[in-house]
Amino acid sequence: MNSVSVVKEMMMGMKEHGKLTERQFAGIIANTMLGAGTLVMPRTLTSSAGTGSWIAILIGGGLSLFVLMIIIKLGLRFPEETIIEYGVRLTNKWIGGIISFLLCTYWLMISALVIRIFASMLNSTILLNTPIEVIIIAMLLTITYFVRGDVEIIGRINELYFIFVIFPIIYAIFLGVKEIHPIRLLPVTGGQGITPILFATISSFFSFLGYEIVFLLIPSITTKKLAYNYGIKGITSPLFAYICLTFISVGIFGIEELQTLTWPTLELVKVTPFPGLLFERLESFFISFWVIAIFTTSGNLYYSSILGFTQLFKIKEHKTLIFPLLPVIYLLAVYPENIYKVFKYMNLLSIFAAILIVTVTFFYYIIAIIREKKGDEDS
Amino acid sequence: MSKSTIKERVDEIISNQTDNPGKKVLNKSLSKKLQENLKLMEDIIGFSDDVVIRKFQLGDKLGIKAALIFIDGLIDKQVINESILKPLLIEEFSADEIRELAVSDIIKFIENNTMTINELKVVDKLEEVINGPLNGDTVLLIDGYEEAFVLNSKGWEMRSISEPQSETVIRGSRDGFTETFRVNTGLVRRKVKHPALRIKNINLGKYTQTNIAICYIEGLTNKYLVEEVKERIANIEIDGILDSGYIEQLIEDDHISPFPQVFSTERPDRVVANLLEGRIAIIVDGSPFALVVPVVFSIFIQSSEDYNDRFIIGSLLRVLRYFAMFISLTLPAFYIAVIAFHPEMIPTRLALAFAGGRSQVPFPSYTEAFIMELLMELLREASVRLPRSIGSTIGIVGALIVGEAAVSASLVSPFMVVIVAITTIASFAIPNYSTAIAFRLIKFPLMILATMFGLYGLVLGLIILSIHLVGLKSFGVPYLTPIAPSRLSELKDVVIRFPFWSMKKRPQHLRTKNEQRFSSKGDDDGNERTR
Amino acid sequence: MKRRFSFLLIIFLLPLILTGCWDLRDIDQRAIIIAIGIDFEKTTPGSNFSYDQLVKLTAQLAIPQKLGAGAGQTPAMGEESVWNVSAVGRNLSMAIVNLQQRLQNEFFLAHARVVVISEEVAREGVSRYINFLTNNTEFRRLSHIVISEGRAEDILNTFPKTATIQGMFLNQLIENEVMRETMPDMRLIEFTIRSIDKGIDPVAIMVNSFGDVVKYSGIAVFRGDRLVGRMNKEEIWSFIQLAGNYSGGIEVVRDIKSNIGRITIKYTNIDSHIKPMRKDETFLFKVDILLEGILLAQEIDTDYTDEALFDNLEKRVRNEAKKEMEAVYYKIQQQYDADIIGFGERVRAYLPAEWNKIENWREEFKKVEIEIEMEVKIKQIGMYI
Repeated sequence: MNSVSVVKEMMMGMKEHGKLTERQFAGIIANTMLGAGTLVMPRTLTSSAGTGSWIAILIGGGLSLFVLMIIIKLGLRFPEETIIEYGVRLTNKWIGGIISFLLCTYWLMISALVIRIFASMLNSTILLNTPIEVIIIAMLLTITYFVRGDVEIIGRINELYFIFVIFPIIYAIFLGVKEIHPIRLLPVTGGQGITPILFATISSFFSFLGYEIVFLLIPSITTKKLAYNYGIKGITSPLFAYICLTFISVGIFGIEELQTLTWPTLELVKVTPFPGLLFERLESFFISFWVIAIFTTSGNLYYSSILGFTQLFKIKEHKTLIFPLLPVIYLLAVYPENIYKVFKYMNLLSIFAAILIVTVTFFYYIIAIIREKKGDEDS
Repeated sequence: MSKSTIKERVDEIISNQTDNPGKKVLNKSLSKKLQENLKLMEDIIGFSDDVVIRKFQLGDKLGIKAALIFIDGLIDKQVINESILKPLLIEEFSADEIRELAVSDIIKFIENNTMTINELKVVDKLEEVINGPLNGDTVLLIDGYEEAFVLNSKGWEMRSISEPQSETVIRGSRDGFTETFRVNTGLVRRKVKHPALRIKNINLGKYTQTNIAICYIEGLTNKYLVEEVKERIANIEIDGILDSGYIEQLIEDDHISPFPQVFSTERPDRVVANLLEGRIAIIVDGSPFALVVPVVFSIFIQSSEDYNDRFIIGSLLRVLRYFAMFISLTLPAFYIAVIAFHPEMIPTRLALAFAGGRSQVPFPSYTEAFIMELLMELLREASVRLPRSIGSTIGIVGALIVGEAAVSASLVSPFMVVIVAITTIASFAIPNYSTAIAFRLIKFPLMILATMFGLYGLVLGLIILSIHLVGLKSFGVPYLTPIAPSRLSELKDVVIRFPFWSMKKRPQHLRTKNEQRFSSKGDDDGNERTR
Repeated sequence: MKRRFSFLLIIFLLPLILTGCWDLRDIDQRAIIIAIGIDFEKTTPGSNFSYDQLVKLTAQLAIPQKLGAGAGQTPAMGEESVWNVSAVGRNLSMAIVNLQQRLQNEFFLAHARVVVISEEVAREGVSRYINFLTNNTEFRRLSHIVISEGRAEDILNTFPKTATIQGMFLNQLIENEVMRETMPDMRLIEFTIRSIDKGIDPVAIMVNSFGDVVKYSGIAVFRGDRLVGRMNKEEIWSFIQLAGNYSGGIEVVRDIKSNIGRITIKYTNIDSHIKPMRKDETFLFKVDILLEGILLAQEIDTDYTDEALFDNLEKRVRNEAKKEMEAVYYKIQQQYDADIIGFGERVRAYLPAEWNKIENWREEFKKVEIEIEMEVKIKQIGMYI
């Protein structure tokens, strides 16, 4: 009945399988970026530039937007292929293969680290006695159920969850605005000159990753011409959220105190009272929403990794890879020994990945243009 | 005839009657001799004592032998006496006229000029002759002719049209489907007086030969959808269909999911509303519940009152219902999570009150919660089967007493009783019974998850639930349309119901050919209202 | 085959996570602490402690059984509803461990609202205790810090007659005053931020107890995290007008015409700006304050419809307020040497280049000058004209 019903569905005019709407596309980008970073970014982004960090974030965000546009442009040249496939076509089997392998491994590792960061936070705040392995396994099982589906399901869930992911941030921003001491936001340029701001720009660019899964998504979008439009929409909401969050955190805590907080966004929630509501200390409530944000981030990344490997090794069904990779991701998640190592690995991985992504994008793009030109000459 | 041969013949004939329309039937024809036909009929259905064979002679002096076969209990005696027997017995068949008529003309004469009966069929196949009396028709056999008449004489005791028990509204029609097939199709016809309404019959069930009608509006409904529905129903091979629920389970996409993928209702107005959107209705003889496919989740939270009332009221009530749905699913789990894992969330005075209330209770909070919830489910199941007269009293009193007694015996804390009561009341606010049950069931795994991980577990459970819902499909339509995949034009009817003049298009997910619901004379901001 | 295998794998993994609900602890198994008191305690002579003083921790527990929802039970009040239990230890953590050993249920700090620290302890430095509390994830960042003149446990053992739960009473008392803008809003988080920040120093409310009454006795001035002095109630007005943008409550001014009668003004609104400027070797701070108030009462019936008189009144109020403010300011600067007003913050904000050059702000602070420009407006005069 299965294949028959597929045909019937197509005849009925329902969407073909494996297709995303443009809103789902934007939702996937936004959800993947709003992940573990939200918890620590106010601290990490302000460590060098102090009160002038917002400039750095703006510029860094702009750079990320630019890179995203190039990625979409590149992807639209090969509208039915993912980067794994056209990478091999543009270069040869080995170079394309190695690049794809690196990308997929990076996604797998980041997915594991994101889960680990969140599990560490849970472990030190609300689930103090539960072994961290158990927290990780619970999340992994949920993600496993998630990635069994096609890209349709991925898209729909991301679309559905976007509102839940963005809600705690908006809430924190609105409540936090009242508690700002404006004096702590000055001086606006950081007062230390331009070098720290440049440094902060680069480090913020490294932290704004997540949009690169667009590499795999372009073939699945139904209306390709809306990709730019909705790509921009998808990336601007996380950037905007980060800027506001950092701004408000600095305004409430001041730079010095902010550097001492392990989980600054959580502390932000703790100091913003909501008078008159039935519930008071809402950070447990907020953590529930963050579970959803982490789930979408690591779920999307895990899915990308699996999809990438499937295409790389020419396996038919992506479901077959889920179970072999499950212990791998678990081991990656439990490997770091303490929270300092986790942050360190995260940093290193982000730097490596950002360089990889930028290089690969431009590399493929240039080759594509050259090939095109060559093709013109030949014919 | 020996018993074995009779049994064999019965089996053979019955096995020839298939429940699969479209398959070829072995036709056995009638013979010209009345006696032989009667013998044949007697062999097959004459063993039961409620089958009546009335032999008589046509006309006054003609002497042509005839026989009526019908089953007492299924027929309207008035019709047989007045409309069939009377004209046939009293009518003057003068010998001359008859003899002049050719043999076949007598049949025509009887058909056209004698009986004052509303529905008449001339048949010559044994299968139809046998099915006739079984369905309540009367068969007229005439000696010398190999054709027989099947006359509509259906009439039996049936329940009159009353308000549906399971779906009551304040404002709205109070008629509901009954168990009689034609009454139900009639109720639909009375609301759709357009020639494009199609009602197609299929018989299902080897022994029950239940009448099933597939209703749709031609030109409105996607024709591939109609074919898919017809095919799924035609593929059913089963001994008997006793209720529309059987059909529901045999045509749905996912059998394991607790959520219904077919919408069942007792109300004709809801059926018709869905037909007008481009859906297909299935009416089953013997069941007051009609089925509607394909469905999306939001249908199960809607009630016809949402449309009969004005849009602000309808929207607010619907929002309340969504809230109730959420509560009935998560409240006990939320209670466990907050009390046992995150007591910092509640204000201090309340926390102290909770602690005080629980101080005498020997169980941990999750045991308390499970016990009370199970007890509540037990009470509910029991109260369904109680006789009407004591049912409601026992329900209320039982709940009160059980709650009160449990609290004074320090078995549960008073808060637990309140929580369980709210949960139960909330689940009654969900209009559709199957959905309410689904939520009642799912709240238990959520409670288990909350016991293990607190709010983290509850959220993970909700995530898993939503993944399941997102992947569910009903006849090709994703279950959570129009929330995910979102279609903005359809969002006007999900949580909040926009006023009529702004809901112009039919739901896109049904791929109807005709997308405009109505054309209004005015412009889009509804300055001009339609009829 | 593969499906079965994966199914079995899940089934085998499930028991791992089902084996225990590790963090499950029902609310009635937690000891709900409403307030904390920190004192010093001398070690008994002859003990083998190498420290000569210990930390005494007093925790005020709520007794849920007495406070619970019971049918027809009058809830307990005051002394019956809470239990103050103490323990000593080398530092706060040790004290907590010792205290835990006296309790049936496990400590639950998330509902604690007030931390009372004795003056003695505060003089030694508060941050080691504060740090413990803020590092603890449960503890409310918005709880109040209060310094007690005597011993902290005495404060916790005072039971005003209308208090159901003593700690909540204290909390409500403080919050009411903060809302009336007569006391600075110094919560734990703000205190911590200020004790770290080089540009501003924290303050805290001081209380002492008298019979069954808890009353304010002033504000404690901190340098970093050590208590160095206090200001009494009269001085508080000027201070918080200067520093915290609070209107300060009520001011009593002598009547123009006679020296006996007094006029009571209630301040309703304040708008203050402080701008730093470089002057010679040090800084000059220009303070612009606009005060608005209403006339509450006059003891001698003066007719203020005369505009000249009215202006005069405003001027008089202004002069008095300004004088008091300058006095307070010099006291802070000279006597206590703690920048509780936040001048340093402002230098950092408006003159960042200068701030970077400064090595030690406290040294600079001693030399700083202030120039106050104040304006007083009386908006309403009540029912009598």
